[in-house]
Amino acid sequence: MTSDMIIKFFNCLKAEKYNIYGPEIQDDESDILELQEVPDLKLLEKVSARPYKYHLMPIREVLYKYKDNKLKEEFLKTKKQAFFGMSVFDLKALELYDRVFQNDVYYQNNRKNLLAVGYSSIPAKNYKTIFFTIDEKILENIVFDVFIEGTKFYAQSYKGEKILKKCGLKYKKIDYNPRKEDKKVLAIKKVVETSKDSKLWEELGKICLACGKCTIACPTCFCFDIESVLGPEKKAERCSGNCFYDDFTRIAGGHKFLNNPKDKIFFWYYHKFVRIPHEYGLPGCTDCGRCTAVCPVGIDIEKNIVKLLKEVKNKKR
Amino acid sequence: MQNVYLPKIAKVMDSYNEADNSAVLTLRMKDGSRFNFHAGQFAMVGYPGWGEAPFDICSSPLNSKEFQFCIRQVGSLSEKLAGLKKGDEVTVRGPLGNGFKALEDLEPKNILFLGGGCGFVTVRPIIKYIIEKGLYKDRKVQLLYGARAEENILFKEEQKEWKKYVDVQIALEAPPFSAKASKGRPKKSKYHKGMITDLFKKIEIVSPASVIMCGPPIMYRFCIQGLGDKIKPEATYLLMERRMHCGLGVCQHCAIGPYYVCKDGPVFTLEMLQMAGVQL
Ligand SMILES: Cc1cc2nc3c(=O)[nH]c(=O)nc-3n(C[C@H](O)[C@H](O)[C@H](O)COP(=O)(O)OP(=O)(O)OC[C@H]3O[C@@H](n4cnc5c(N)ncnc54)[C@H](O)[C@@H]3O)c2cc1C
Ligand code: SF4
Ligand code: SF4
Ligand code: FES
Repeated sequence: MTSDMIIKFFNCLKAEKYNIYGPEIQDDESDILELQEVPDLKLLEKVSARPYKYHLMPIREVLYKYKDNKLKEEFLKTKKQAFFGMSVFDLKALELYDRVFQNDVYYQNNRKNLLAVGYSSIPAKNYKTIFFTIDEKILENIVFDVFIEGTKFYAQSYKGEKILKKCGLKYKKIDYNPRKEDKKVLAIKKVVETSKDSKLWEELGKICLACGKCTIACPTCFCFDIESVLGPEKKAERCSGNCFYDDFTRIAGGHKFLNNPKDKIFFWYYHKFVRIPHEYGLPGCTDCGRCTAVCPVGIDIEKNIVKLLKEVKNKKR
Repeated sequence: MQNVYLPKIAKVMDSYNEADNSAVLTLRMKDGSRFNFHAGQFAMVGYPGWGEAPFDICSSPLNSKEFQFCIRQVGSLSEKLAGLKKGDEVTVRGPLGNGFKALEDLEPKNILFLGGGCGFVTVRPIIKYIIEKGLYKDRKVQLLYGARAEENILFKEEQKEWKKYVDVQIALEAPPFSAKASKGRPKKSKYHKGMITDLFKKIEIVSPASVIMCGPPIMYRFCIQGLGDKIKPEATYLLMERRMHCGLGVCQHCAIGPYYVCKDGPVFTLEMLQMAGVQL
């Protein structure tokens, strides 16, 4: 049973002409689709199988066209959209995207029309992860417009406050106050940074198929390609990339800098646990568990990091 | 907010063929704007509908009105670009990367270039800068260049001018047979036979020197070995190559350990690479 307040909010968003995206079962898994009615509470309680990211950064988007000897930027005509029911993990991923694409006009064009609505059936501080710190301050450490905790409403942005007022819902204001340094993030960074010779990579390299399903499901993976499209219209497009695919590092002549599953998975983890924290001070992995759930050979990111942490502890002894 | 992905249009002012199946394009911005860059920086050069790819800016950094790229034909885009003629248009996004911001401040002052393959292109803007700024006056500049055969030597004609200021030594894997006898005396070949590393034994290597290496990673490995303690990791500069898409440190294609070749490079000190455990 979904509470009356949540139904009220959902219907109000609809009345306000928001295109609402949230979890819905399609092909036996919870995808993020445009919703007509409020999703079942059971769906909202779980992390969806698919991420929200493709509705913010499409799989393909035109950057510019070349016509009449001129270059013309192209922007998606985005309507007001609401992401309904984002988990704490999804919001942590959104925070990272905001940081990475801070100076990206295409992202910002889509982002300005987004209302991020978080949901948690339990107190948000009760989430558990080894990858970043979650405590009483968690709602200050993530970005959202509206956050629904059980039946309580919180607003962080002006946009969030405005819509809640309009919908006649009581809320509490929470200011965004990101953690300066997250000890968990830093500890894992240190361990992964110096793990090149760990036999874990050898082991993973033997079983990983380099199929790339994990990066497709991952809410933080944001690698992309820029491609040109020949045809009646000459244009450049940005398409989502995949570091497990062979052409990711291929150069003319055929050499690939990443040419086996071992190096690829190490590169993937290194990005999440070293490069991202180094550049943005944020965790590159939110521990949402999607990659583990989709991996055909059962590679479990949390278990692997725990393993590396243990290896280092044992070495110190 | 500036659109960091949107290139500018440049006009081809001139194009001529270079060795090794390459063409040198001289460009000028269509809107008349200047193109200011440091030696060692690159730009994404594209042809609408064909894509864009990184190419080193190979002209003198002291001329911001016209600038050049030396493009070797290896695939669809490079073939397209190399075939362009005066008046054609290309897209240019950049300059990108770090490059050498202050060549005059290099320590040690002497400069030893080690070049090979198509990475050799980057030597040209640095040498031009050294000559035009007169940096050769208070330091020794030596250029060792390894190529397969005489016809693979890039900028061969220009090197005659360089030789007035720079000690240029070329090693060829297959030197010309033209140790021709002229007037009965055998003519001394302009070239050394062998690999670039063979030069280390044959000639006097400038030392102490800042070392700048532009070539394939395998050449770096052998040169570092061959030069032994003449190599100071903090004063040895390597140009790295990776596949690139954004050129801005976002898309991840060019990442090496903690670095992005497009943003933190393409010039790295050996020290930086060693510290990050990057294997050459
Ligand atoms: C920093 C840097 C400087 C360079 N400077 C020069 C130069 O001065 N002259 C020169 O001839 N070449 C240079 N290159 C190599 C040049 O970028 C490639 O030759 C070019 O991308 C080949 O494109 P293509 O479409 O002809 O080949 P294809 O094999 O058809 O390539 C298809 C696509 O793959 C990517 N790609 C392929 N090879 C490379 C590569 N080596 N580096 C990056 N992306 C690649 C590009 O996106 C390209 O459009 C440089 C590369 C880098 C990284
Ligand atoms: S989903 Fe699993 S098998 Fe596929 S690339 Fe990712 S880790 Fe490897
Ligand atoms: S748990 Fe896996 S899918 Fe989720 S954020 Fe981390 S890497 Fe991505
Ligand atoms: S080319 Fe995109 S990160 Fe370097």
